[in-house]
Amino acid sequence: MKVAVLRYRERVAPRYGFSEDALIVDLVGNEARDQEVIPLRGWFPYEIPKLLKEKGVEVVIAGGINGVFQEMFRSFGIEVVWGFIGTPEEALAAFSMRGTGGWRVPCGRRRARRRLGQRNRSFGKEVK
Amino acid sequence: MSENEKDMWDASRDPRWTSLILDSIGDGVFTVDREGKITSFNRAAEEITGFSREEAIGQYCHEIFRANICFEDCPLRRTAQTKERIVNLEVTILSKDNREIPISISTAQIVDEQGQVIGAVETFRDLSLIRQLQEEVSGRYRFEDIVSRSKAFSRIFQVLPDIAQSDSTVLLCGESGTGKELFASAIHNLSKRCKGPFVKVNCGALPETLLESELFGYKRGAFTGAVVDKPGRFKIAEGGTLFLDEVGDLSLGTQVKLLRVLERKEYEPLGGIKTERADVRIVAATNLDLEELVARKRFREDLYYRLNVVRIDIPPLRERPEDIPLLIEHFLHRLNRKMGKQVRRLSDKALQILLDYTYPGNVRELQNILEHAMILCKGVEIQPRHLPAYLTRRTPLTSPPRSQTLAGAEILREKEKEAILSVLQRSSFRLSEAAKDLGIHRSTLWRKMKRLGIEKPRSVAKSQ
Repeated sequence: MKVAVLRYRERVAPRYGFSEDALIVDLVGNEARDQEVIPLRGWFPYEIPKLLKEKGVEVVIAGGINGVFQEMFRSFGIEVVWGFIGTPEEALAAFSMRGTGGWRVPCGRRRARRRLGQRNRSFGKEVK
Repeated sequence: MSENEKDMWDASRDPRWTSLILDSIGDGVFTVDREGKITSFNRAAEEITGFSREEAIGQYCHEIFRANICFEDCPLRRTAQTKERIVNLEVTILSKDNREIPISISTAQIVDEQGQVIGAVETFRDLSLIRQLQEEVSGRYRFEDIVSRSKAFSRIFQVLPDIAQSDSTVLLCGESGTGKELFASAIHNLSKRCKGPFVKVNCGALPETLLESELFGYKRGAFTGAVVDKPGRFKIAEGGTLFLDEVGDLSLGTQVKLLRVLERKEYEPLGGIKTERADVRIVAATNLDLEELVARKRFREDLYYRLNVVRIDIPPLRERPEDIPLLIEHFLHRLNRKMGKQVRRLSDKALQILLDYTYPGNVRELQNILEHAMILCKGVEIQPRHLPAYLTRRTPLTSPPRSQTLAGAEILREKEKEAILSVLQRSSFRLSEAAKDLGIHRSTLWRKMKRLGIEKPRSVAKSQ
């Protein structure tokens, strides 16, 4: 089953319309095979369902996503699992465990593996 | 310092004091550390975003707050880095349950006693009510405002963006109250013309002569009283979209002029000698059967084909009952905001009544029913007694389950007739009042009465 995780700065995109790319993973059981990254910048939000359908995606994992866009995905036969906060790896692991049913809350207080500071995005840094 | 003042001073140095103050104010407040992780989150912030304090604290602010600006130019980072305070910047956040909420934000740095930046604070105010009222006044809606989970809408969702991107004329067909204007507005907002104006004209509301001057404008001296040039709606909609509602009500004379605009993209204002170009995209809507009007020679065939380039049929609410709970939730949310109420749900019985009803006035009628119920409801749950009487009176006696009511067009027609008659009798056949109650336009009610063979009783007609 092909699952796409919508990403923003290598974490699950908190808001669908601002996804930077999609990590498409072929899940066989709990094992992730064949990964592919599709850039989403430059695509309108309503064009993405068609794009992912063409890639054979069956499930999309997202953070926040407006109901209309969820319906657009569903109209292309793509299931949407939303409400996740964390890394794509954590999202895929949780998805493998739970599937598409009943998962509607953020995964909670997981700490990010990468710190914002390492990515030169730390707060309070003086701009010269 | 008095004893009381001393006690207050001591209490104010307790960290719990700050938390109490923050929780008592109506604006959302949260703080972040230098990494951009949330360190405090007050009660109003919980209510506006939908995330609990426990869920929010420790997360990156952009993953909880999810404002559009978080992904472009994070205001908190800007403030923390440049000391620049941001005041009342309007942004849109996505709440936990995926609602877009307009808010205004203000930010400030947090520095310690040594002057070192230790984070930033953001306060925000919910602007939903103001935005909702603006939307209602301007009639400008977005694609995201369409509420549906039905299969009937799936295909529309798929094709709507492509249709919007083209510049073709669109014909929206659907019963009164199905949301044709919302679709027209959504098409405009998805189109290349979205930065241009979206201008609406109700063709059924104006007499022929007035409509012509309204559409095409007039020149000074065109007729008595025309002391200045007046631009028509075509001119006002230049570079944007012109929405012609109730296009089936156009007179044959106006149809010829409209046809010319559609064919040649040009028109002449009343009393004008110069032909003007029309750079306008037309979206037309009707609740009438245009094919039938064409057959009866009441609508020009050539205009019909000009308008019917791309046609979208919006299904009535009775054909998509799965949307009723979703719409109820949507309207409860909007009406709570508008009316300052805290109605959370419908009782099982009240919900069943709404699910069994056939809605001749479609979504608009459902909205009016809920508004009626919310005015009467003083608690958090709407009961059957809060619903309009015509629903509760007829349901147990006459209304069979939905599966049976959808058995055939004839049964549906009878049900519609029954509902309209019931409302008319209640309003002593005052059409305006009955139309308002049904959530449809007066002229629509009149047409439905004509179609269903409902006549005003003579005694009523005489007394009025």
